[in-house]
Amino acid sequence: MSVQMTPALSPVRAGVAERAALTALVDEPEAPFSDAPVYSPQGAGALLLGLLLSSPKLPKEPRPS
Amino acid sequence: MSNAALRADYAQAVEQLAGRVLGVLRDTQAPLPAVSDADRPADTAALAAVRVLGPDLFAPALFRREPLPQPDREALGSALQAFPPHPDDSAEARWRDRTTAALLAHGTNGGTAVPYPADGPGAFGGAGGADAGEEAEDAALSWQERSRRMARLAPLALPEVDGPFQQRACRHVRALSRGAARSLMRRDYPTAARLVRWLALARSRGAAPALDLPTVLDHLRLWGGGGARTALDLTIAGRLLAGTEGAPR
Repeated sequence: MSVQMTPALSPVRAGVAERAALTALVDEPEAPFSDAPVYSPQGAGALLLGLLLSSPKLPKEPRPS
Repeated sequence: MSNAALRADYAQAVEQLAGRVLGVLRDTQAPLPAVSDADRPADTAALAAVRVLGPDLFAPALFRREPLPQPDREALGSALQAFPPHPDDSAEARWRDRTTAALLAHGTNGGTAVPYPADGPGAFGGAGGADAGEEAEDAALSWQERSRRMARLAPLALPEVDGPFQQRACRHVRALSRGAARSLMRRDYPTAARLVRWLALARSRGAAPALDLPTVLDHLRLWGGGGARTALDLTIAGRLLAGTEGAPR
């Protein structure tokens, strides 16, 4: 966009490669992959185990000294 | 230059141009035109960018109900000369060209000559209607197919522009809402932004989308990435929703 163009100048017609690049941008499809989070039973089990292991324990009575 | 490098070059030019249109659209006090004289395109990548954005170049002028500035008209004319419509173009590309041409012709007095086929589905002229075959084909689309098609046609979702796809967006808001939700779940934010743009247009014309559009817009603004093209879609959707100056009907 740095060079000015006078209206009298006609641009050169684009070739096959240029047209293909343009078409790819005009007809941009939706993203071909999905990285949405999916349900994972194994993951849920690991989470429950982790919660059980890290659950707070009852305070112990201090030993009489 | 390899094909990949060429495409990357064009994509960068599209982002630059979208960013400039976005700047004009966001700052309502900025003077027109969106594509200034100083930035008038000269190289093929810049012309390709003008061609890719097509109707989006008119967004600031349409929201202000002003004619497209002459430098922008000339840029579009040059872009159409460098990249003329082709018989192998997709139906969506032809509709985008058709809308660009109609907008270019709107309100001009013998403006830039645009090479366009005189007949066929992509004929130069008004936004026009779809033929019976196309209507039948459209009626048979599933919500996924409709969403994919409408996402590619998102540049047609503009104020003051009317035609078959604008009417279909109003008729099929539930399908487009499902499509937008699907894109959000897939984290395909550019597609989601394009569909939300259509839903915002439909809502501005009296339809009732099945999505909370302001919330979806906020989500996409936060998570939609830094692409200027997506930001342009979101800004246009926001303007349509807000019903700011020049909002349609």
